[in-house]
Amino acid sequence: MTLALIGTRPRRRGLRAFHGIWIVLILIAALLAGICIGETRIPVSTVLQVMANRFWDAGYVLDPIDEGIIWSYRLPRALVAGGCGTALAVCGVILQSLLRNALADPYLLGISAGASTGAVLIAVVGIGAAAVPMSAGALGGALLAFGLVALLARMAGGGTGLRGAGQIILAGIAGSQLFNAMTSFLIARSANAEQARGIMYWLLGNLSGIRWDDVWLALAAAILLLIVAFWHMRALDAFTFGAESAASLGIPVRQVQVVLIVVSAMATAVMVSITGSIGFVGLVVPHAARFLVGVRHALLVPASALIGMVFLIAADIMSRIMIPGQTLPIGVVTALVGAPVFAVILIRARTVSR
Amino acid sequence: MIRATDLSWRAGGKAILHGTSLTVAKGEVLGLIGPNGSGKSTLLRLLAGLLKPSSGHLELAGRPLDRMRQRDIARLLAFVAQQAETSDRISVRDAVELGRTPWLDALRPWSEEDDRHVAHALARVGMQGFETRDWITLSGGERQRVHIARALAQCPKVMLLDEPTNHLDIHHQLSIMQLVADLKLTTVIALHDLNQAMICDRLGVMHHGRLIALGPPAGILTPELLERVFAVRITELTDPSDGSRIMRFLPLNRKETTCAF
Ligand SMILES: Nc1ncnc2c1ncn2[C@@H]1O[C@H](COP(=O)(O)OP(=O)(O)O)[C@@H](O)[C@H]1O
Ligand SMILES: [Mg+2]
Repeated sequence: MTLALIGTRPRRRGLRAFHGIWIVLILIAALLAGICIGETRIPVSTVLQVMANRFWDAGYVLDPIDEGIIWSYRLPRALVAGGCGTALAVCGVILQSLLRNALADPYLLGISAGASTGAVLIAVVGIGAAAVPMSAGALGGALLAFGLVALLARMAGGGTGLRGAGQIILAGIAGSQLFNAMTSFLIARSANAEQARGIMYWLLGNLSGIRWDDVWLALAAAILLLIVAFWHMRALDAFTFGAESAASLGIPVRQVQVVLIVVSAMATAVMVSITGSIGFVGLVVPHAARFLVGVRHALLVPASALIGMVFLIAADIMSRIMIPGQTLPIGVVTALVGAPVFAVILIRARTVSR
Repeated sequence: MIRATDLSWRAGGKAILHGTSLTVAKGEVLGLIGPNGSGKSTLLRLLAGLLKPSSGHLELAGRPLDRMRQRDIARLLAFVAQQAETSDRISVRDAVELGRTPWLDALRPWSEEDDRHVAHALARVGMQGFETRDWITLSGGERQRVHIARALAQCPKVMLLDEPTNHLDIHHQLSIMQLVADLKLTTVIALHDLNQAMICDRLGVMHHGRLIALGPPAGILTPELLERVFAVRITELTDPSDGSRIMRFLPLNRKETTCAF
C-alpha cells in the first residue's frame, strides 16, 4: 500500500507521509473491525494478543476457541474480503478507463459470470475444487465472456457516449444470462444435490469456508493487479480522450489493452473461484473514489483499492450480523448497496451526456 | 521532416487513400484541403503513425516510422484530432498534463520541468488562468485551445492538426489560425475554409483519396482546380484594405444567363 503514493504530483509531496499513515491506519482498523465484529464479539485486546502470539511468540494464555475463531476463521475471511474488494474495485477502474464507459464493471460485463462457468466446469468435471485449477478454469471463462461481450457490443454498434455505454451493458447482460444458464446446465447435469446446493450458495458470492491457501492466492492476485495498474497509471490517464488520443500520446494501445484486460480478468477469475461472483464493487467503488480524489489514476487507483477493501470488509461484517444466527452471501449485501448506486449513476450519466 | 512515399491505405477491401507522396520541410506549414471524405483525416492519421499504411513508406525526421516506438513518435510529433471529447471531470491542467505522457514513465516521475512545460503551453495558447476549470465548462474554442496546449506540452517538432477550426465561430477560427501560424513548428493542417488556407506555405489538395495537387497557395487555388474538386464556381475578389485575395463561392449549376422563360 505504500506504493499508493508513488507518482502523485510533486506539489503534494509534503502530504505523502501523512497519507501513507492514514492508509495504514484505515487498513488496520478495517481488518480489526472484520475480526472483532460478528456473532461472538471479540475484544480488540484479544485480537492483538493472538497476533502477538502468532507473529512474535508472545505466549499470552488465551481461550483456544477465541484463538481459533480469530486465526482460522475471521482473519482469513477479512483478508480475502479486503483483497477481493481491492481487486474488484481496481478492475472496475481499469475497465471504465479502457472502455470509456462509466458503467463498466466485471460483474455487469459478464466477466464474473464467465468466470463462474469456468470454475464450475472445473469443479464438476472433477479436477477438484482446489483454488488454483478452479482459478485457471475461471480465467478461461472470464476471457471468453469478455471477448464475446465486446464482440456483441461492437456488432450492436457500440462506441462512446451513453448509447454505446448502453450497448455494452446490454451485451454484458446477455453474456451474463448465457453464462449463468451454462453454469446452471452444468450443475443440473453433473452435480449431485448436495454439490449443487453448495455451488449455488457459492455462486451468490460467499466467504464461508475460506482457508489460508485462499488468502495467499487472493492477496497475490490483488497485489499483482495493483502493481500492474500502477505501472499503467499514465496510460490509463491517456485514455481520457479515447484510444486514438492515447496512441498519439505514445501509448502502445493494443499492448496496454491486452495486458490490462488479461490481468483484470485474471484477478476477477481468482476472486470468483474463491468467493463466487460478488457484484457491483467494481462499479460503485471507483465512482465513490472519483468523487473524493478526482479522475487521475495516480490517486484514483490507490483510493479505489482502499475503498474497495473497506467496502467489502464492511459488507462481510454486515452479511454476518444482519440476520442473527445466519450468514447471508456477501453478494447479497453488495447488491443491496450497489443496485441503488447503479441507478443513481445511470440517471446522472443521462444528465451529463444529454 | 516528413517524407511520405507512395502511401496507400485500404479499409474493408476499399482503397481509401491511393499512392500519395509528399515531403514536408522543417518549419513549413502544409495545408490539406479537399471536400469531406476526400481522405484528409486518413492521411493525417497515417502521418501520425495511428494507422499503418497498406503500402508505401513513411519517414519522420529521417527515420522510418514503422520502426519507431509509439512513444518515440509522440516525442517528435503531436496530433490534434478532429474530435476528441471526454465525459470525465478533468480540469484544464489535467488535460494539458496528458501531453507530458511520452516523456514520463515509472522511472522518470513528474517533475518541476514538466510543470514548466505545461504552464508554457497554456500561456502559448492564451489559456493561462483556466488551469482549474472543468473540461465540461469550456466552450468549443477553449477546448480546441486546450487540445493544442496538450499537443504543445509534448514538446513536438511536428504538429498535425485535423480541421482545428471546425465548429468554431469566426473570431475563434481566426485566432486558432493565427496561433498555428505563430507556432513556428513543422505543421500539417487539414482545413476546410479555403480562405484560411491562404496562410499556409504550401497546400495539398485531396480528392477521392488522392493528393491531386501540391504547391504554394497562389498556384494551387485556381478556379479550374477548385471547380473540379469542390464542385463550386469561384470568383476572386481583392480586399481593398490590404490587397489580399478573397474567394467567393457559387453553386456550379446556377446559370448566370437570364432565365429561359
Ligand atoms: N476506418 C475506416 N473504414 C472504412 N472507411 C473509412 C475509414 N476511415 C475513413 N473511411 C472513409 O474514407 C474516406 C475518407 O475519410 P476521411 O479521411 O475522414 O476524409 P476527410 O477527413 O477528408 O473528410 C471517407 O469516405 C470515409 O468514409
Ligand atoms: Mg476529416
